[in-house]
Amino acid sequence: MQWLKYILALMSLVGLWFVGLSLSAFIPLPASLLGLLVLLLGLMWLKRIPPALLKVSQFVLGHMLVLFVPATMGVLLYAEKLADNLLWLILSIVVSTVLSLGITARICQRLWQPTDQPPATPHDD
Amino acid sequence: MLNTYSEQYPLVSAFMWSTITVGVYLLSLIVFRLLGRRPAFHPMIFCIAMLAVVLFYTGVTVESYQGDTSLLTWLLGPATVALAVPLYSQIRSIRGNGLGIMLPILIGGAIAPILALAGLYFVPLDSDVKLSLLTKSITSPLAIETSQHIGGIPGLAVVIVIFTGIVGAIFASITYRIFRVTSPQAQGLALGTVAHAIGTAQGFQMSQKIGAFATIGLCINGVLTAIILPIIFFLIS
Repeated sequence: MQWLKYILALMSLVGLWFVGLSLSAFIPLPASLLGLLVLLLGLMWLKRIPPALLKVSQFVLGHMLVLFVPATMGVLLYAEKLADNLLWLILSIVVSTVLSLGITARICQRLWQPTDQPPATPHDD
Repeated sequence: MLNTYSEQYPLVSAFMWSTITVGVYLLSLIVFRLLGRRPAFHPMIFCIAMLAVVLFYTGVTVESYQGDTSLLTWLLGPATVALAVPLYSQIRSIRGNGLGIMLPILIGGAIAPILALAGLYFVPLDSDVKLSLLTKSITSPLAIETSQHIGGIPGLAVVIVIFTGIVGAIFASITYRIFRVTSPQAQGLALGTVAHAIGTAQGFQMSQKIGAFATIGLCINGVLTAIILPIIFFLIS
């Protein structure tokens, strides 16, 4: 019986995506985002997460990477167009990603410390 | 040879290439584990390299491969919906820390594309390539639609999005060590904001809490970029 619930949870994710798709005709946001918001509202209304949905979403999100693979293979299509400046492009993406990661986390940590962890370590800054 | 096969039996070849993709993905997970789960050997790198070799030797074009595996790509939609679950589990901390969440996401969401563009200011790349960088930090279903709006190349935008995600996942731990970021909220939020779904997947590898906060960053930055970027472009042009 348990796996039936898992299938039901999986189908409800697909169903909610279609709900998002039909909503995107009226609201100019991507279907997946609207589906997400509908599910979020539903969970807030339920006030709990159904155990099967929790299990299924953990599984799906844990292996979401595989769904990116086909799109990533598109890199081969643009290899020629980018070949001359590939090194610069890669360097720029790596540097900007690392810097923004560090800066964003740093700002967030500073803003959270007063409310979340009262005794901030003095030697940390 | 396989190309004509694909035309004759579209369902069979769709099933075959989806299975091959999942198989290669599982194989790269095993390799990743065997090599000691070092972030530098991110499973996506092995997976892409291996599939590129397979495509080369079977003579199948990237376009027909992408057509055959469109079901996997489509499933990204329902998978994105599933992000509502970890988001809901953190809803109390979101409500209590509006500024601590919104400000870092706004700043991170703005500096990531700006820094990338600035680094390429003197590099002679076509403007549509440069515009494709602007959506680099948002998750690919959103990036495709937004890139179309602002004159980028959607296919390239997706590649850049995924590359950014892999870079974020690989460099997260070392970046946090250098910047001395210890709080799981900050680690997660930054990962989701800058490195979207792939960063979020890495976050869940680190801990459930980091993953949940990465989801917050992913969702809010995705929505903000999808709304703000077309407006800015509308105003400029």
